[in-house]
Amino acid sequence: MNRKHFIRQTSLAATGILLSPKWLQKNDVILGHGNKRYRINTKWSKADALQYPVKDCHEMVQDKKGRIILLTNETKNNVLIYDKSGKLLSSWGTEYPGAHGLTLFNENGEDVLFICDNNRHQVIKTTIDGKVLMTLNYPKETGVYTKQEEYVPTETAIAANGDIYVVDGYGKDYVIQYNSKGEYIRHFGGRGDEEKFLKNAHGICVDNRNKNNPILIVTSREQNCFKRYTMTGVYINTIPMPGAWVCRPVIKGDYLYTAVLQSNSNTGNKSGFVTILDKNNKVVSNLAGSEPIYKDGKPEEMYQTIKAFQYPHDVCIDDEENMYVAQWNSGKVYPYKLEPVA
Amino acid sequence: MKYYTTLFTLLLYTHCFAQDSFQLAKPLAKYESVFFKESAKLELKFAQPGAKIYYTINNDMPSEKSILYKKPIVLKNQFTTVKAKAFCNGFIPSETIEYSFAKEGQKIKRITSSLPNSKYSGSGDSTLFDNKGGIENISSKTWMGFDSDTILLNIELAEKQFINEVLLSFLRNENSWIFLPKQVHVHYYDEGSDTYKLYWKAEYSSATASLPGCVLKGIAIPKPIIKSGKLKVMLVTVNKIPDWHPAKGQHAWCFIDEIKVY
Repeated sequence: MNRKHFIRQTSLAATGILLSPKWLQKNDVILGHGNKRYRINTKWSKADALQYPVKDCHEMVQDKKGRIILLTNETKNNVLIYDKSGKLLSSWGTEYPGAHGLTLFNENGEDVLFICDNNRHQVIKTTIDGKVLMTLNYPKETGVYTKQEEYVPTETAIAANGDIYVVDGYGKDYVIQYNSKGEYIRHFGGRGDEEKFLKNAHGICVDNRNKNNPILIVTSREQNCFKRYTMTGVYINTIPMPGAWVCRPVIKGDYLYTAVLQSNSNTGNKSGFVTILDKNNKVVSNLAGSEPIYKDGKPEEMYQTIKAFQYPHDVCIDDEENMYVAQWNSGKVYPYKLEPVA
Repeated sequence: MKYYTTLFTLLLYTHCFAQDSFQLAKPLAKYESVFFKESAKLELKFAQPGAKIYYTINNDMPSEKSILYKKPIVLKNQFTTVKAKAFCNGFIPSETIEYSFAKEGQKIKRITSSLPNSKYSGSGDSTLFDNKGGIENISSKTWMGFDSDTILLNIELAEKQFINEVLLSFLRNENSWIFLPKQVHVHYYDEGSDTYKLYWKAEYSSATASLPGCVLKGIAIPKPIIKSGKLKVMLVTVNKIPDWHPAKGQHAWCFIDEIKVY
């Protein structure tokens, strides 16, 4: 056997390892399936843990300057702002003990942020550098809440017209729609036995992959699925994600990306992974998870296969298609970066 | 050539384990119940390209020299423990998963028990002898969950028998405060004196943390001395969670889903 042949054989056997001529480079573990495979870098963040600590790294977004913004419930610095190489550029925020949801919206050319705070039972709109622009308290107008403690917002999504959709994923699982001024319009979702209801409505996004017909995708995490609604809250259908405790849906290009907090088959044991769905909402890749298998058009149960992540809580896809993964309750670990493999 | 191969393997090894080296997660196990009348079927899944599952049924720890999993494992023996593990080049092998399967023993007529907590009350009078169990999910209706200091189980057999062994199926999930009991006392009914007499007892320690899972505990009677149709099993639960646990000092839960008598 010549050496070339041997290398080719080994690389076939050692699935998951890159054996390119650059095989002395770091971080050679490849995660994912098909044409959605990534090289993982667990040492992306260059932040000094003593000076800029994190607790749960809940969510990440990229701003128009290309910077990566991380939200943590560590009140020494609720927001850490990185460049794409992992260098910490700045930080702000000391007043968000329950910092959980982070959504970026380009409002007439200016980036603004929406923070959901579990402990404060509020949604706070800020400038990109942390100046508070608006605070939404618990939605009395809905008539379904008697006190703020019943309302624990986890995520927001902002429509093109500026309408704000808030999901109360740790409260009563309603979706509350406001206009851009924060005036209540309607609410929908909530709990119940029918398909249109939600259980642990942890995330929401506007799915604008069909430009002429944007819709809402809402997480129903304990039911291991996403549910699709019109922009006025009419239930359309369900995207089953069997076995996967999906977090917020993130749309980039034709794909839907989401962190999976844990596998249903192994709860409480750091069994998370990341999943990617194509434009038909079919799972095409699981990063550190089982190979997607469909039988009669239905996905088989999904589960973690590689312990690369503990409890992934959000993914952010940057302008170069790199992925950042923020994790909850995972030993105060900073986000990982995953670069696509051609 | 040989030199190159060795060098390459060596570098590959250093390379793999010097950087991020990840462990495989455990394979997914699918079965209806670990209790059966004729046979049980265990299906193992691990959809990771290049990975293989090896397993044993003789209590050895699985290695790549064990049996290669190809199709669902059919179990017929009275008592079998399957141990399985996933392997894949470039990854640390998974932790070992372990499932014990048990065939139906002496026919049980009735089991009455102390009242379980109403949240985990099982699925009716036959919960503890319906051949349904070994499901790790806490909310499975196969479980009866107790939060009392002691649990009494009165077992009535269809016929008087020499009792060789009593098998109890527990759930252990210490993260969820579910522990094995501290002690199990097995008493048999003595017709002559019209009293219950202690047959045998067993003790289980929770001094250190254990992995979650379903646990079968057999209490073997060394020398069965008498035929009896009635047994009384008393479980002493962990009334104070040990110091190593975040909930130290709190009352633990005890979960049971099946009892077998051989």
